[in-house]
Amino acid sequence: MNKETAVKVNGLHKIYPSGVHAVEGLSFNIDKGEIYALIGPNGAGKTTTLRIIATLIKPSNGKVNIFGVDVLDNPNEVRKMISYLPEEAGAYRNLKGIEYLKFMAGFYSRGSRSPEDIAGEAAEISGLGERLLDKIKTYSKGMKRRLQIARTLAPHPMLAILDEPTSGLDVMASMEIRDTIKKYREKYGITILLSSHNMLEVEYLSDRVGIIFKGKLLAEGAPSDILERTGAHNLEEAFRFLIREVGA
Amino acid sequence: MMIWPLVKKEILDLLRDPRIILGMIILPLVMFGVLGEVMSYGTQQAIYVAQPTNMRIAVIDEDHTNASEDLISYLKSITRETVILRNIPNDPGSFAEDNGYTGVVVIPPGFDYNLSKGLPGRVIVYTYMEEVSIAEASRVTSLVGLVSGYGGIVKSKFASHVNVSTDFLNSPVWVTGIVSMGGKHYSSAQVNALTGLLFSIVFAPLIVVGYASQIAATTMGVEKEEHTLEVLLSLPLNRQSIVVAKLSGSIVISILATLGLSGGLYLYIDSVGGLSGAGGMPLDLMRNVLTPYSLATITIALIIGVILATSLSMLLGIFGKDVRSSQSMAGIIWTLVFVVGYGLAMIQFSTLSNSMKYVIAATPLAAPVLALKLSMTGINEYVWISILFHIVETVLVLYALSKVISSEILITGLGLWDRVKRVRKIRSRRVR
Ligand SMILES: Nc1ncnc2c1ncn2[C@@H]1O[C@H](COP(=O)(O)OP(=O)(O)O)[C@@H](O)[C@H]1O
Ligand SMILES: [Mg+2]
Repeated sequence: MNKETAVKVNGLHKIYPSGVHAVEGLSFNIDKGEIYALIGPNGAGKTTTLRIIATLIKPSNGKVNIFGVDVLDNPNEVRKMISYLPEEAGAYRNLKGIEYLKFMAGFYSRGSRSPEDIAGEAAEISGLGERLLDKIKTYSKGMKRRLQIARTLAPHPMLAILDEPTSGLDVMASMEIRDTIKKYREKYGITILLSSHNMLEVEYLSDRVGIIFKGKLLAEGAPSDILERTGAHNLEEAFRFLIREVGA
Repeated sequence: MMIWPLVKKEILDLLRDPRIILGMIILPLVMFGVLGEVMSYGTQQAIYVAQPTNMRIAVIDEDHTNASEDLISYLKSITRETVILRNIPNDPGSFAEDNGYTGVVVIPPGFDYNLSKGLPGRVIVYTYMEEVSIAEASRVTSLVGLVSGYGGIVKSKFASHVNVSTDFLNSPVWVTGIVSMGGKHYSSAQVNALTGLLFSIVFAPLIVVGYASQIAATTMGVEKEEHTLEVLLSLPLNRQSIVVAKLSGSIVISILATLGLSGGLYLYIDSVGGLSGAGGMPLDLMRNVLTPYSLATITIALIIGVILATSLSMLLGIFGKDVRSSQSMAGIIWTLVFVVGYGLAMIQFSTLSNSMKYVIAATPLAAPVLALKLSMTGINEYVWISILFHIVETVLVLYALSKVISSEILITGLGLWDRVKRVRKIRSRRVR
């Protein structure tokens, strides 16, 4: 089977202006319709990698392309295909939830889908019901995160980039969000790139994972493959094993 | 006391941000240093022209009496030069301006007669103002004062008269000052009112530009602080349109602020003007001074000033990491506006060297103040030169903004501070 490649990252490096070398020679590919998770501890370089793919910052070296479009050469084209959920996404506090969803939907409406369609779907994903009529500043952390997930997935982007989608959420809320993500991939064939430092969560969610540490890829593959290769019971154990292997 | 750790944290928190140190401490220090220089230069100009020994005056004696002769010899004794003219020139004020006289003093017939009857003797002083400035106003005031000063001598001579009037005792010499400026004539009291007015209205562009700059500077800071920026930057929309949208928002708000301010200023001038006793309310005076052409020029200068201030502030504000540090970056603009406003009101622009005039015209945000100042004597080419400079500067700033907005600086910052720290660390390691 010849699958289309959604994301191609090749020899990626990122040195921040402050001099921090956050990503050191990262390479991986994501197939269309796949859920791919970057996992690794805090400071491993996950957010940096996602920001580059989302065209917010520029690679210092290496190539990244999204469905064949280079992020450096043509960021505007890339932005049309993606929808990005930052790690610490905020919403305009004085807008009502529904107003925010409509505002965001306005940027993504094209073809047959009107902003109202997208906003309506987002309202449904959010599961916030009546609370959508309240101002965002009255929302709890979990409600804000659900609002953000909803506005990210509702436009049916070709690639959704989710940075720690469930961070800071309780078990129930996290599960709901994981289910939504899975459902969206199945229903609309959206490619999903997410990051997490919760290795157990991605075991359940992703088709393939890339384990990164200090800006380098330690291992890559389906969760079951990695477990088999490392002889571990779960990804956490596998991670500890891999780190010992590289002598860190 | 438990409060000390809190105070310490507040101060440390503020001082750790180099932008706040730059915007709130270093810049005002530099700017007010400059302002001090400008002020003292302006004051020196004022003191210089106020010195009788620096004055050169022309006198026309129409009374031809001992009393008028006495006044003339008094003038000769205290001025650098007093020249006697035979006839009154057509426009004595402009005559003085064109021929390098501080003013023209006319002693009309009846001067001696009045004094001998114990009535105030009348003298008319014609002078000019090249522009509204402290130095120029001080020339008018001191020339009028100089001639009035003769009253003291007169008083001691005639006070023995039995039938002197109280008017006489109050001021034995009545001086009428007539000032020509921009082709119009004003009383010396009106001129003083105008000068006072200029000082109150240099605040107008100051406040408007200040508003604009605050709004524009914080617009990105808010997005950073509320973590809405990353989402905004990943949206499928042209980065330039973010700049345009944010600038238009700030400019619209600023124009509303301008309208509110103009209304307030109108009321202010009206009520303060009522107190000045300048012979006609300053508003009438303003109406007299400001032609439609100069009003249009002031408006254009103000609008371009607001646009420049907004874009400059947005550019500076982008480097703030949150609202607070963006605001302190905008403080740079405030300080600039303040220095430019006050400096220009103080200084006599028309006597500066050409290159100095260009420097001032090119100073960001000088155009509205310059237009306001020079409007009273007739807009000259420097206002338009200044507006042109501002347009060029605005284009440059907008270009820089479009570069910055499409770069990653918004997310990563410049990292300048970290670089400095790294260099320092490496150095200190070497030393050890
Ligand atoms: N804006 C920035 N400027 C400088 N260094 C940064 C910046 N953002 C992240 N870093 C550094 O880059 C490294 C990787 O960070 P990040 O990509 O956020 O990791 P993760 O998301 O895996 O926790 C860390 O050392 C972090 O301190
Ligand atoms: Mg992260």
